[in-house]
Amino acid sequence: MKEEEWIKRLRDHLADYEAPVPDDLWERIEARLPKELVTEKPKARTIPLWVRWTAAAALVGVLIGTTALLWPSHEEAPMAPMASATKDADKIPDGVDKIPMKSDKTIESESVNPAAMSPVITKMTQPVVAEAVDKPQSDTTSLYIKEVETQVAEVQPQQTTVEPAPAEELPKMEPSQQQLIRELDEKIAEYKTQRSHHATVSLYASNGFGNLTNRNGVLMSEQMLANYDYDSRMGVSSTRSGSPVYLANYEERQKYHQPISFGLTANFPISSVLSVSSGVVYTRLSSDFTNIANSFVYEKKMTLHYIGIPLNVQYRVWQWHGLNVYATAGGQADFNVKVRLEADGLEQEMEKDRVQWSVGGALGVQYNIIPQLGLYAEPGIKYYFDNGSHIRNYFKYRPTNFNLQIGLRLNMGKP
Amino acid sequence: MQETERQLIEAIRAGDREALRRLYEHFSRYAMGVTLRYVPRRDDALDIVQDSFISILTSISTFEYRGEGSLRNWVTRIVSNQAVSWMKDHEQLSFSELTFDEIEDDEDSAIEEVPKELVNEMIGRLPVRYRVVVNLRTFEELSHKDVALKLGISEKAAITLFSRAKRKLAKMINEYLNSQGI
Repeated sequence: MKEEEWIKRLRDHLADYEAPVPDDLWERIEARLPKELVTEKPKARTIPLWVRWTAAAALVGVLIGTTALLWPSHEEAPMAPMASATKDADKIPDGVDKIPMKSDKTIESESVNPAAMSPVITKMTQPVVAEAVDKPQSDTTSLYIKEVETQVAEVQPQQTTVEPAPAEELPKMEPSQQQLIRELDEKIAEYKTQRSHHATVSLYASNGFGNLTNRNGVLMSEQMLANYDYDSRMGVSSTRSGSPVYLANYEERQKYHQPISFGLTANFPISSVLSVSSGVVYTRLSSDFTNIANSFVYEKKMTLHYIGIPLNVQYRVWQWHGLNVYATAGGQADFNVKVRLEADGLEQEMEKDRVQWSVGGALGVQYNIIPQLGLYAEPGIKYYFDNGSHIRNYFKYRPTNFNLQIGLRLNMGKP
Repeated sequence: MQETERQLIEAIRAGDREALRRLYEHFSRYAMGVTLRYVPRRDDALDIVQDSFISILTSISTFEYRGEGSLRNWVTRIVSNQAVSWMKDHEQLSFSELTFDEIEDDEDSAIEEVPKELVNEMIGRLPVRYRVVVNLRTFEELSHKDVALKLGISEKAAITLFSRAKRKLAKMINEYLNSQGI
């Protein structure tokens, strides 16, 4: 007897078969039912557009607010006057001539008497001293700076009593003094260069392009063809003719929604143009399956939740003012942390998917709205390896996937 | 005149709590028949029916009416899912160490000549792996591919298991018919 025919006869024979149940079964069921039963079909939950815009604005506001708090003001920033001092230092003879110096002797001994310096100079030197000492240095300049720091500390209380001398009375700066300030300038410039390659933290959203919809008949497998004795019945060889044989009145529809990801990553510089980044990425995949056999409709919704760990290398291609163009490439391992399969509104058990590995590359453009905060977009391409699981999802049907990542990048340590 | 599925659902949606009982009375014996094909021990089957009706009645709001018979299909699927879940927890429902063999065409067996209760019982007596596959393929009308997906096995394994189950059931039916001199 052929399979389909046998199935139909068995099903028809037992279609209205009933077995007795005990009289008290309903009481047992009713006792476990909640008092208030929801019998109305729940309305689809929709989030109004204004709520979404408000939430997005709030998020941006929080990020900008946080950044503003982290951004030191001019009054508190010791580096700010230093920047102007650096410019002035290029014109040493004019600018420095006006600095009051009490004794030439102290200069000759390569030691500065802070008491002889104006409050402006004292204030200007302090941060350089502090920052320079933070870094291990071995040259003579750093030793000199440490010495200055000590002496500055000693004379702080006297600063208010020091009156700047009139400009015309200032003695001319010695060449050794000029050399000293040049060295200081070089140190500052070097420090600033190093500081410009700072770590960043990114918060982003990403999605693939387009949903996938399939609507197809179901092919008879080779075993079923053999079982049906199809070739001799139809007088043709299905395998030789190459024409597929579909199951009658059976159709499958699948809709794979585009993947959506949210990530939080940290980026660490390893050279002036290269950096590595890693973090955590949440990805949500959802699919709808509809099987139609005769008039029998069977609907399933599957949602897969993944937590991924990316590892990327980023190469800075071009930089101009606040605009930054870069290329990035790397891989990601996504772990399926939760799976939800809902058939006709009821949740069913389902095994989790295996680890999903992927590699990808992207070209990114970042614009720094303020020095601490950049907005970036990364159009890219990703390839998802077949993880060998039976779970049908977007990645299985479209392993090569174009995506767009948009996010905010917080520049850590930016002055 | 018997209440239709549409009338029953409309009454439930209108807040008629008594309609929940009518739904139970309408389908409980049928649900017990379905369950016994998966789990032949009556006490276990009763637990499954009880849990199934709690699921049915607490999630009735998710049901979508698609014509007469759709409510019955929905009830069948919930009972079936509950039974498969119970089997996974309580029986040795393992699909490892499965060997594949050639599928042979079986002889015709006069299924209709065997009393319904007995055929139902015969399905319940099949080894656990055959039982679950024959139920999903025959009464849930799932394709081999969907049976495979549901049980986490290959399509080839689902086809092989179904073929063996069919052969074993046909043998049981033929033995009964022979014993009855039919």
